[in-house]
Amino acid sequence: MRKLKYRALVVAIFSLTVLALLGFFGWRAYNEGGAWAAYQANGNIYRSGKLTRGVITDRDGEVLCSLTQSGAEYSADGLTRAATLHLIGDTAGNIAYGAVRQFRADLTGWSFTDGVSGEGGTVRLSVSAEAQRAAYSALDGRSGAVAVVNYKTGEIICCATSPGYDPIEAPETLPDGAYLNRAISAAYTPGSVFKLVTMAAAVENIPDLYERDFHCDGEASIGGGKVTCVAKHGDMKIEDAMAKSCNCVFASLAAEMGGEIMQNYADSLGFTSKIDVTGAVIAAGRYSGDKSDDIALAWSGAGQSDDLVVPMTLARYCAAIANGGEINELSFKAGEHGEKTRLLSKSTAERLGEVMGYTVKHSYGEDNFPGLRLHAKSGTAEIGGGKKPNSWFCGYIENEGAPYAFAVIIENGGWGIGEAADCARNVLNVLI
Amino acid sequence: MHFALIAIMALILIRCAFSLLFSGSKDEVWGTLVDKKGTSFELTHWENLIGRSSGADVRINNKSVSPVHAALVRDNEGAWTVADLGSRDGSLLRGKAIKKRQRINTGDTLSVGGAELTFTRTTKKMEENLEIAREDSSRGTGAWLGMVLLTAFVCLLAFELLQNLGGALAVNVLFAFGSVLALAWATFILTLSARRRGFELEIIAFMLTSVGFAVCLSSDPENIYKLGICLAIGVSLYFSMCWFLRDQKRVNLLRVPIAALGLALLGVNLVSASPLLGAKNWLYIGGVSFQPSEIVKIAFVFAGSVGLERIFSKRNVVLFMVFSAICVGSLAFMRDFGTALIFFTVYLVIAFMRSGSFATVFLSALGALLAAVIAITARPYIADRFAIWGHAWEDAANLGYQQTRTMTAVASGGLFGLGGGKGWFDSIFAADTDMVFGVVSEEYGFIIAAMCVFCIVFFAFAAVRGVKNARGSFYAIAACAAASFYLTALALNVFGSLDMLPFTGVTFPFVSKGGTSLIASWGMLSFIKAADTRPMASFAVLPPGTRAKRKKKPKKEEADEEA
Repeated sequence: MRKLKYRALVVAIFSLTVLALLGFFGWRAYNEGGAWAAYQANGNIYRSGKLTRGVITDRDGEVLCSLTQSGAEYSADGLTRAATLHLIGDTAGNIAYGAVRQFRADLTGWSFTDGVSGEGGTVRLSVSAEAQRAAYSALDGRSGAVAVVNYKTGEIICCATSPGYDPIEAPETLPDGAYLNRAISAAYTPGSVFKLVTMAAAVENIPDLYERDFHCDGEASIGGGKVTCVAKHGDMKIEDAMAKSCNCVFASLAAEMGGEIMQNYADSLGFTSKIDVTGAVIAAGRYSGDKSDDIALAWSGAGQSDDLVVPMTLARYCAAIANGGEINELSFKAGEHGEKTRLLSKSTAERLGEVMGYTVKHSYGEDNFPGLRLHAKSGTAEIGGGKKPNSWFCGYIENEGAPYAFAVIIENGGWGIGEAADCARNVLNVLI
Repeated sequence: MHFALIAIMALILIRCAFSLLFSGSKDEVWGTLVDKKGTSFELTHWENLIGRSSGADVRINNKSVSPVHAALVRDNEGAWTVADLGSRDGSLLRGKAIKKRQRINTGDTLSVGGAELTFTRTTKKMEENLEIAREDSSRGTGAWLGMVLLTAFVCLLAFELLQNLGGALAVNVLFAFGSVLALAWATFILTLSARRRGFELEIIAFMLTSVGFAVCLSSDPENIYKLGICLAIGVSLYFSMCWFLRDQKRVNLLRVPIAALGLALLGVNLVSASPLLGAKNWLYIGGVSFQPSEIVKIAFVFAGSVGLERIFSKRNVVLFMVFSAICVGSLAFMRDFGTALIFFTVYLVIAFMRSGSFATVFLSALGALLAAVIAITARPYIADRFAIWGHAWEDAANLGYQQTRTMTAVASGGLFGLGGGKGWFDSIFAADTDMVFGVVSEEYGFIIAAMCVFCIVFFAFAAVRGVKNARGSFYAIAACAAASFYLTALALNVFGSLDMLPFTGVTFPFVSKGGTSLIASWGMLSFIKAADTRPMASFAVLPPGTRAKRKKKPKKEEADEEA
């Protein structure tokens, strides 16, 4: 019988294994339970696939949307509804990255101890409703986008897109691309704003860049083709080439460095891949250093080839320039600071910052942006087909309490320093 | 919030664990062997192994003694026999070689190898005195307080469901918990009147049953009447089996017929079963459906559990292996792979208990693995279940449907639950059986669901603890086999539904909704009860000093015991 006593220990081991598995499951439930409870089959908190609890507010606590048993209740103000719709999501689920879907685990109000027995949760978005409204108004029905990020924390302060619509009083036929959040999901020909990328590559790869004397006759021959400028810029140093946005200079720099280096910079600065941020995925832009001929490569240095840039990615790049080359990865949730990511060396970032400040001072005029201490670059992206060019404006402001970097695009807006700059000024003014 | 329920459940579990698992009662002594030097060996079981092995009950460290030498066995009437277990140097009784099992009496000398031992059997009077001494030294089991706690637990559940389910179901609720309490108290009084005090296993089983009833009330309240009847049948089966198991001779006599009956039942099932939900393991008789495989489990325990002499004289387990193969094969053929897996695991445990050899177990496991591979390749839907295992969220709408929803339900309930009858999960098909852990977690909280798991683990430890003092190896093996049935079903049910094991659709003993499963769970418990030899504790064990079959007419006092 004593033999059996020992053999019976297999049953004890079996029991302990069961207990260990249960413990392991408990640990999993502690870590993953929030996502499990947020699964939309959960009849406790979903009605026909729609979450029935939770509140979404802007960074200042203004309620943008409440989810209830009877559906989503948006803001009482029509402008706010239209200006924030793409951040919250529509009831039919046509909008890709609404907070209702992205942050549903927070909206359930789940906790390991209480499950979903309590109230729904509140999600405080990083965006400012005030800035959203200003941006949406400034876009004024034109297609375009405004992206503003806090370069010290990575929080997205404004992510506005137009055209949008009021989810409560939606028109019969929505404008083209009304579901698209252009700030994070659309890519455009960058035009001169891409000179900031060429500049970063040149600072690090052309040792005598700042000593060089450049000359512009209004056009330059490169590899059998021709690059043109809107004017004869004459003799200048690199700072003035940026301030005057000289195509000839930046095209020849790109040709000089070659496709591989240009490609590396476009890649490492985030312009060519999707970027996972808290609450969304920023679409990938496009850049290929492997051009069919040298003239195409040269034009790409001036942002005028077949390459594409997503507005939020450009704002992210400007944030890195403003913040010494390093940022917290972007986030749509207030107070949530993403992982630190370095895009540029500190010295390169400083060089770029200086040249952007120089550009504002000598080209755009500081008086046009009173009180902003602006560093910026405009872009006028020719898109062909007899259409007006796309208007870009990007940069950052030096302000301890409002450390914001931004990018604005207005489709067919004409001159960058015109429409897009006006729009950026309006939004920044409500933020400072 | 279920603080009161949790507290009572924890208290019941802790009290039962202390009184059953950690009570250090003295061994029963049934006889002694004294060697020439005067060293005395107490015989503390009805089956004792004599040999040189460290696992022998009477260990004689002498080169001439084989590791496994002889078996000394007592029957219900107190008669002792001795058998040689194929030892190298043989055994002598009263100077004559032992060929087959021989009667041994007080004063007889037994020579095993070179060692000479004198046998003394305890007289009935001595046994009674010993038992009284044992009783004095043992702690009271405090079953009364346990019953009060159980009653409170059941009443709290009833009260909560009466509130949450509304007046329309009041009758169902009252019937459910009324029947649990009525049966619990009736059997408690029956146990007391049979002068037994151990009621831990029953209290835990009734507690689990009431959780199962609560689940049924929120998912399928009309079915509660059938379950109530099945509980009565199950509890009756339990006490009948306890009574049956008291007499080892009776058990030995009927062991093989019961096994054969089990096989026959499986055969009938195989021929005439109606397929229900994929598995062809249901029988319909007179409008009542039942699952024969649940009942066959009990036959399986009888078939696998054998006496000490048989274990060590016929070391192979071939016959049982064939029996097991038929059971597992038939179940697999009926496409009830979960139950087949349970039988197979229990087979492994029994094979190990009997052979002590990992090699035997390993070989069987290898064979089964081969069969499993063939089964998986032949049946695409099983391959699917394996493919999704561990990845349920990747196909939450189809193959991972049950698992993802169970996890969602568990997470929703948190530690304290949403309230009885207030969950959503019980409306999912088969949630109250195959995914019952999810229903309990969602409505009563993870703590109570985890404690339901502890309850089954408690049964398993009770079995392991019982082996230490079990009178015979049949009882030891049967208790462990029953515990393994519980544990395997539990593991497959809970961890299958949580995507930690392949999802097979088996029942959580006592808790899952299902009449046959409830009956079998209760019947199975008698095997564990029969290994509980604490003084005057178990209904399934006769105290020393009583004889199962008396030649003389029973005295009045003894008649009471038999009641």
